[in-house]
Amino acid sequence: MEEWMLPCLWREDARRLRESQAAGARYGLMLTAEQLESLRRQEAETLAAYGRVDFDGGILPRLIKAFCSSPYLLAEDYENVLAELQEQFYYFKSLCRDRLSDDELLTAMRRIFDAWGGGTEGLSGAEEETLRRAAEGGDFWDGEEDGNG
Amino acid sequence: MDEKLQRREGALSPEEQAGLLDKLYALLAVQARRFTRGRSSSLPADTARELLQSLCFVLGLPGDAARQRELLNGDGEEQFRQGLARLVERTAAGEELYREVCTRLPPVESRSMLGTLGSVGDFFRRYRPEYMAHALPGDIDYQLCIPVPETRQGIDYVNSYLTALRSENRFLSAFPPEGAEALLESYCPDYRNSVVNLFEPLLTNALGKLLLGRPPRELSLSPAECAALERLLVPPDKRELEKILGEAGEALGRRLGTGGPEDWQYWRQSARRLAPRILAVRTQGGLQGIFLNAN
Repeated sequence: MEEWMLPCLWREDARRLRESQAAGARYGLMLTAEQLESLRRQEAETLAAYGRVDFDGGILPRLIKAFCSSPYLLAEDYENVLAELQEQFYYFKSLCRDRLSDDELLTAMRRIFDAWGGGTEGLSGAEEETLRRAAEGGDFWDGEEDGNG
Repeated sequence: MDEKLQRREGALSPEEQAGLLDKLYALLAVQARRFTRGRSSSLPADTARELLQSLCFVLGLPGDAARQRELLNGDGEEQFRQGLARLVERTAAGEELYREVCTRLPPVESRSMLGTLGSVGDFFRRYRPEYMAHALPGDIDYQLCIPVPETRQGIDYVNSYLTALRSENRFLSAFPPEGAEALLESYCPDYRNSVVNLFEPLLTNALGKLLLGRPPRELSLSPAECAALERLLVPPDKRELEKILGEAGEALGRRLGTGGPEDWQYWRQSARRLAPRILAVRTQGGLQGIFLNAN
């Protein structure tokens, strides 16, 4: 993608980030301006690394909204976990070749994340079929709903 | 450059350029949402690049400064809709042209021409001007005498190709099949299975015949006729030779009683392109390899 397009990627995210920050705040989860900036920069790097272009302000605001109610997302590692989830989101988009929508993928990631009691290890080995089953609300991870068995 | 000077010369100022890019990006974002049906906010960069090329083609960009200002100051969505509507019209005209070319094949056979027409048929079945307006058919193997400029995209490329092919095939159809086949076999024995252009060898020999005052439909040129052409084609320079050949090319249309002004113009341009080749072989002592003897 041409360089001139990159700054445009983040046009709408100020408003969306404010909304997602407000959603996170209800669960005691807040990012500082520096943390937000860092996550935005990491997302741009991840998009470039996976050869993707985002047209809607990035996934971070929706990622926050999708995960902030998880009981396993803690304030002390909020930024680090979001950074990992963000990277995994685009990895999965590429892995699935866009066969899963953003919403389906966020749903799947949240279910697997919770099933593993937080942490992103459970997600790192997930394959497309696992994600698809998780997105559809069915059993996943070799049929074990809790992912630990 | 001074801003006032830029305006006078028509070029967009840096602010206008930035505004145009903003507008283009907003339209691209809309197209990306349509393309994914709202299912994904991101796309592979290659797909995004294709969407951008398609969008620019529909909008007539880059175009000149006037076109760019028209987009900058107008309703981009509306201009996209209008551009798409024009493209759909050109696609319908192209399909009509394609049917005509397919039903009026020349009497000489070329597998690469048939294969190319099959590929063009696939193109019409799969063409999606709303997202991939600039896309080209997969396999255009058959080579035209005058290639379509690489700057043409999408349906414009296909229509230019088909228009030229129709002109070439109208020319080929003006000759008795036996004479045309004999000439092509002397040019390329396996021409039926090769990607060679069929029109140029016939045009060249028909031109030779016409320049000698003989019936062009006879096609084959004897060694004595080639020698006569060598004596005839001794113009002072390339420009003069192009003029002679071009006029003869257009005159062929009237002499053969086939084609129309658009075809004659194509034959004229094709004939002019022979000039450099003739000049090159003349320096090596003869016109053998340009004008063919089919006997």
